[in-house]
Amino acid sequence: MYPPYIIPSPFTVLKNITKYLDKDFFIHFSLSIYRTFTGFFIALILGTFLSLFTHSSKMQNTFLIFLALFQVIPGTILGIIFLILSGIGSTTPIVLVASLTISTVYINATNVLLKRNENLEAVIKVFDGKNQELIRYLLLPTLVPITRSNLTLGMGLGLKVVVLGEFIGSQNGLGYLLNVARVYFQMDKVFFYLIVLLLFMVLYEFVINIIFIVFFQKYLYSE
Amino acid sequence: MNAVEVKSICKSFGKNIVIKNLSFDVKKGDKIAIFAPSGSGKTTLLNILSGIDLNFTGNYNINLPFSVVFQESRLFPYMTVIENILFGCKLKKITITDDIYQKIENWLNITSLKGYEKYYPYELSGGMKAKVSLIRAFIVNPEIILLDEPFKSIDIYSKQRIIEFIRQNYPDITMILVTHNIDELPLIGGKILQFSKSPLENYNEITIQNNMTISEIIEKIYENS
Repeated sequence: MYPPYIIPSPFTVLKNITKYLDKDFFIHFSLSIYRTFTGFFIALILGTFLSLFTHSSKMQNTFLIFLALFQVIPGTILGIIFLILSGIGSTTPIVLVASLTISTVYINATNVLLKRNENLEAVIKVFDGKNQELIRYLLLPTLVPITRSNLTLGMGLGLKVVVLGEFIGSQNGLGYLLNVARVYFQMDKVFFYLIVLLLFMVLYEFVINIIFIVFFQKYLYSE
Repeated sequence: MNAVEVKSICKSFGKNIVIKNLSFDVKKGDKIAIFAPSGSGKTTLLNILSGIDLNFTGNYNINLPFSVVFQESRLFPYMTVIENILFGCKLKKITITDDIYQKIENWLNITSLKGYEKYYPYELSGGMKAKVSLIRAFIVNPEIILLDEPFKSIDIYSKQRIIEFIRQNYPDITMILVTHNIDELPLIGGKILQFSKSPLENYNEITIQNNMTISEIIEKIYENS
């Protein structure tokens, strides 16, 4: 058995929860969430539009290889490069999240577009639909189910990357708090921050689920 | 005036030739049935005429606005029945007037789809989906309609009702029906281009008189084959 200062019991962490929930914590936490959301939504929008663009211009195979290669580069190395380029602050984690999640979004979206329903595409063509209508009525709806998956996978990955980025080089954010707690060997705080991350993801998933049920359910119907 | 002119069309999939040097004309207002066995290239021909398949040799002209009913219903799963019906109008930038709504109302009544306007395709049977697809093609008021076995999943009573409705409401429409069902031929009237085997090349032209029965048509088809 490990002593409580190495692995504190969940009860100890819960007991001290009010101690950790101070104003500073909320500032750091909201900074991490802001960075994750900003970075991930930049990746989601850019990745999706890049996928639509390369699909329309039939360049997806070139971009698929390029972005697949991009996935091989370790996040820590990219983080250090961005840190050198943009310094300590919010830019590094945001750019890091965007650059590490864009390939996942792009690859997923492109693979879905490659398997699009050609029968429905023919209907649009027969009724004189142009590229714009093809995107609006077929390609974007086709992307809805994969966007749902991207929102889960990408956000999870984004949050990990932000914490990593803050851990490497930031003076604020949850990653920074984790680093400080690690340095001072405050394992109870480390566990608390991890629990907060998990709870945030649960809440995020719940909200995304509700949004999809209310607004996008029809895009998940079969033919 | 020729509504459709097909000149020396050839199409093959690898070494498999499905259409060989096929030519025919369809005059404005004519009703033509392309009658050929399954797998002989009828759908391929319609895909070429509707501009979906561009990989062929020869040429063709469609000189009037046209619409297509595909073999499968091809409804958009995330659109309701009424949205699917109006989709063609939306793409063709046709203003949705009261007249169009009235036409839709008539179509819905004749196809027994009244009350299903807000249903999604997954909530409909195969026959109902086929009917929605028919309405979508006719509601844009085409002058030529290309029909690829549109009644395949529709029961005979509905089929007769729908064809009678088309005859009454679209008397001047030019129609090209692709089918291998003999019982659909007298309902359409007009001419039959009968192909007995693949590839689509030579055909017999059979004119159907208004009062001809199915057995008389079958007799004529066998006479010519």
